[in-house]
Amino acid sequence: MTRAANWSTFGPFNVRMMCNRLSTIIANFQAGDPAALEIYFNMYKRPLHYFAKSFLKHHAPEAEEIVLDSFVKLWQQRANFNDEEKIKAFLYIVTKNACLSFLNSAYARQHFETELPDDLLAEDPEGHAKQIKAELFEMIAQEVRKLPETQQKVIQLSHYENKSHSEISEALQMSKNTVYVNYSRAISTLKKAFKSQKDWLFTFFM
Amino acid sequence: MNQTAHIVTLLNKYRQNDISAHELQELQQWAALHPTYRKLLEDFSPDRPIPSRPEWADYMASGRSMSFPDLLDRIASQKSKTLKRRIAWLSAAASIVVIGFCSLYFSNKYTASYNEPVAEVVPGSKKAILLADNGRKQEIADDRGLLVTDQGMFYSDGQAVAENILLETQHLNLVVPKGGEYQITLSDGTRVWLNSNSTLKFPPEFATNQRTVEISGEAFFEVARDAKRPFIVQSNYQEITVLGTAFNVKAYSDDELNTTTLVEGSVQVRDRTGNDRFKLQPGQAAIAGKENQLKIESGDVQQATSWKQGEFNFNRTPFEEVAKQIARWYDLEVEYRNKIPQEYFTGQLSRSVDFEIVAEFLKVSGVNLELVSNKLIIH
Repeated sequence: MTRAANWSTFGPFNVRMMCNRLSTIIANFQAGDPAALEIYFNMYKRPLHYFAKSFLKHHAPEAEEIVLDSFVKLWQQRANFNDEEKIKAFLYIVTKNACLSFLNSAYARQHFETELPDDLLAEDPEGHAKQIKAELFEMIAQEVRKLPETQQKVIQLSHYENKSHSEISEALQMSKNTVYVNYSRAISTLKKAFKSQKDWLFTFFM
Repeated sequence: MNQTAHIVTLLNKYRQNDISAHELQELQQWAALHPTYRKLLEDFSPDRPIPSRPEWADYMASGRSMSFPDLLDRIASQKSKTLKRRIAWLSAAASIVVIGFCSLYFSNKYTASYNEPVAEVVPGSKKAILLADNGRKQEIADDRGLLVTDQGMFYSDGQAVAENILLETQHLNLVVPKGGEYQITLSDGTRVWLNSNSTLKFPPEFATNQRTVEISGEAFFEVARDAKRPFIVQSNYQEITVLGTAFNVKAYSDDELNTTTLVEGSVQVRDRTGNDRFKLQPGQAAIAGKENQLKIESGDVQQATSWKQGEFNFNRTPFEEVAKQIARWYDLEVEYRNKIPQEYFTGQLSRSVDFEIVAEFLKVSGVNLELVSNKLIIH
């Protein structure tokens, strides 16, 4: 993943604000600047939490604890990181290990009767696939953020808050047709079915 | 871990239908390593631009309730150094103020309204007018389609058209107005679909040696096979000779070029001077204009015949052409207040939608338009 893709997490305004600091963030992080930690926290908390939940199934509170602990460990060992890729790798590995030991603990067996799949602790395609999925979701989330604001709103309401087109039309105070149009244009853009930048997309069937 | 990042990138390209053959092969080899990998490839297939709703909702909700102050708390409690904690808190509070300003700025932009009312303009429907060269005239507002026989003119279900207009005329014109489309089966069994603002001139009965019709506008022909009588379609700039085949002719008088797109069979096309002639293969298009010599290009059959399937279909289509097609179907006049926008449009749109939806598409695309009675004004 390129740095540019990561930075767009913060939206255009923040990107501009923080670009100057790009090279110094790692240095600040190593030097113990909490603002640098906050940047990494905001960058990775969503995919990491999702990653942890995909191990723990329905134990979201435990997943949160685990992810927070991963960041604590990262902070404690901050002097060892001089590269962003290493930070990401560290966070995923520490989170996965914590999830697995949680599932394996007597506490977990007693309270949740969770069976730990045998091959989960071995060389681990499932864990790998979970990480890929979390990272890919984050990429899509960033693409959604790049859509024009109205389309973003429509996608957010429809796909995140699971609202019907009529409900969206009410919530955003726009006609149903406008909702349909914004929705279908957003989907077209996300699909990138047509790549040419100058083309305007027109895709809609009743 | 670089391997992971690489796979994530490939999967994202695959999902966006933006992957090279080589990369796809690499991805498929990787997916073959384990069933969970194969599952990922299925989950992120290109026809699903956004993951399934419950999963996506779950993802977007992830991490939401984790705040940075929580993390700082946790770090502080492990170190139990109150002073450090306070400094961290202050710095976090400062960042939150900055972020607060940003989101205020963005949420103000969100509230821009898109609610401008657009007058009600309805899509086209099946209608036509029959004009005989003796001046007789009949309006057809029945959606059944016409059938020309030696017994007279019928609707396609066999019911006679009230007045038999076929008597005492050499030629008939089937005129489809703007906002209309119509289908007719000629006396030889050839079927013709006419798009909006198009006229087909044909005889009640064809001659014994050839079958000649004239087209202005756009029509799709399914020519009945008759090796002894070639079927000839004449337009402004082209003459198309066929034995039995299906093709689309687009020859509007306000278009610079006439285009014939062959769907199946074979046709011969020549320009009206007769100097240039070409034989078209299926999928090819013959293009000619007043100033343009006849030339052959590979055509887009689906796009050329989409109107017959009830769709607008654009593929890097210039705005001016998009506007013409829309104006013909919704019976509007286009007026450009400034320069004609130079944008291109791509995609499909059902022809059955209200004009309001089309207008929304154009507006969302940045075209500044206004509808005054039946005039579409482009600013």
